[in-house]
Amino acid sequence: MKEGAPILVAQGLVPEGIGSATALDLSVRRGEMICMVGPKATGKTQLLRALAGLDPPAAGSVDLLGRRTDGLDSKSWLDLRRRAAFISSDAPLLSVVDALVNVTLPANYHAIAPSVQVREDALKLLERLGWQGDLTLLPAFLDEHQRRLLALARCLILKPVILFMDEPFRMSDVSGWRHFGAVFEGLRRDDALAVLMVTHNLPFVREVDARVLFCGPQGPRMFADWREFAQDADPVIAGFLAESSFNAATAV
Amino acid sequence: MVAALPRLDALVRWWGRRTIAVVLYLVDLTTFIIYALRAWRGWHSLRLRSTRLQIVNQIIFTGVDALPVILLLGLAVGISMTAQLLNLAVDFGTDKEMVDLVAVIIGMELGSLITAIVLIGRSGSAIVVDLGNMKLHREVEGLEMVGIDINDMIVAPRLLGASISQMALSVFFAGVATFGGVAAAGLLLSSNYFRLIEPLLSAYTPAQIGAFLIKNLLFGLIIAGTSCFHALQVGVSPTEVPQQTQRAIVNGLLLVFVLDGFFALALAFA
Repeated sequence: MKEGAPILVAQGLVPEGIGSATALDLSVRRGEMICMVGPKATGKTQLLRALAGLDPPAAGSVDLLGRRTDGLDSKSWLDLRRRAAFISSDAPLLSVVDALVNVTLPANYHAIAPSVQVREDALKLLERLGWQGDLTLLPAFLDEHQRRLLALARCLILKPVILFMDEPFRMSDVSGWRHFGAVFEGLRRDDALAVLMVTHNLPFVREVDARVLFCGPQGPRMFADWREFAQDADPVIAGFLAESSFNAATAV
Repeated sequence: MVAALPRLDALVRWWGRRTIAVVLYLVDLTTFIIYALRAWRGWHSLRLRSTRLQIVNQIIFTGVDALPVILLLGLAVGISMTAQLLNLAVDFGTDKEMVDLVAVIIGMELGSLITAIVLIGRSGSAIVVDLGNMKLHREVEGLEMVGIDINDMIVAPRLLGASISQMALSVFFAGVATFGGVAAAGLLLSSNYFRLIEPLLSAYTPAQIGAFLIKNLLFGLIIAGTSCFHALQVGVSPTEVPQQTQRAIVNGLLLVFVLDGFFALALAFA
C-alpha cells in the first residue's frame, strides 16, 4: 500500500440486515478516528462489523488494507485480523488463562518474537496503557475496566494499523472513558493507529478530535467533526442529541 | 388399504429425511475433523507453549487421570468375564483357542469399547462443556479476532490428545483385563490357568496390533471430534450447552459402536 493511501475504503456499503436506503461511502487514513453514534437499533454494530470485514455486506464493497473483504479465504481472513483488530462490546478474554497470558497469547501464536521478548513487550504495552492490577489473575477476578484494557492490549501487541471497537466505554465511569480517550489519542499520535468505534458516550465524542458518523433511521451520514454534527439542522439529529441530554445550545 | 397408503407414504418420506440428515451429519463431522487436522501446524504448533499445554493437559485429563477407572474396570472385566470365559471354554477348547478367544473378545473388542465408553462419558462431555462455554461467552470469537485459528489452537490439540489417550488406555485395559483375568482364574479356579500367560503374550499378530491401534486412533478422533463439533454448535443460549453435550455423547457412542462393527467385519473377511 502507498504511504498516505486510505487503509479502509467503503463504496456503496449497505450492511446485511439493515433496511437503510442510504449506502455509505467512506475512506479512512492512518491515524484517523471515527465515532459512530446514533439512536438504538439503527445498525451501527452491523455497519462496524461490515467495515471490519466480519460480515459480508448486503450491497457495495469494503477494501481493508488493500484487500476486498468479501470472498477472502479463511487463511487470508485470519491474516487480515492481525492488522485490522476488532474488539466486540463484550471484549471477551480467554477465561482459563491469566491476564498476562491473554495479552501475550496472540503474539506467541503468530511467533512474532521469542516468548521472552513478547513478555517484555506486553509488560511495556500494559504500562503504556496505564494498567494497574495483578497480571496473574484470571479475567473473572478483574473489573470491567481492566478486562477492556487487556482486550485492547491483546490486539495492540500485534501492532495493528486499524482498530474497530464496539462500545468500548460500556460500563465505564467518567475516569474510565477519559483514560481510554487519552490512550487512543496517544495511539493515534505515536503509532498512527486508525480507530473506528461505535459509542453512546457523546461527552467522549465531543472531547476528542474525531469524525462523526451518524447512523439514523434514514441511513448513515458523515460529519467532519462534533461541531458540524451538533450544529446540523436535521431534526433527527437534534432529537437524538436532546434524548441524550444534549441541546443545540450546550452541544457544541 | 387405501387409507393406509398416505401413512406409508409419510413413513417413507420421514425415513428418507432421516437418512439424508444422518448422511449430511457424517459428512459435516468428517469434514470438520479433516479441516481441524489440516489446520494443525505440526511442529510449529508444538513449539507454541499454549498449544503444547493444550495437548499435554488433554492427555493428562483424558489419559492419566482416567487410569484408576480403567484399571478398576479392567480388573473387574478380567475377573468377571475372562475368568468365566476360560472356565467355560476349558472343556471343549485347546489352549490356543482359549487364548485366541480371550485375546480377541476381551482384549481387542471389549478393551476398545469400554475404554471408549469411559472416555466419552468422562472427557467427551467435559470437552463439550468447556468449549461450549467458551463459544457461548464469545471467547472463541475473541481469539479469531486476533488471527488465531481455532482449529489449530483448540480443536486439533484435543483430537490428538484424545486419540493418543484412547490408544494408550485401550492397550492398558486390554493388558489388565486379559492377563489380570488369567491370573484371577489361576488364583481363584485352578493354578493350571497360569500356563496360558505365555501363549497369551504371543497371541496377537502384528496385523491385529496394527488394526487395534488404528481402530483406537479413530475412536479417539470420533470422541474428541463429535465433542468439539457439537461444542462449536452452541449459539447464544446457555441451554444449548447441555443439549449439545447430550447429542455429542449419544452420537459419539453410536459412531464408536458402528465403527467397531465395521472393523470386526473387515478383520473377519481379511
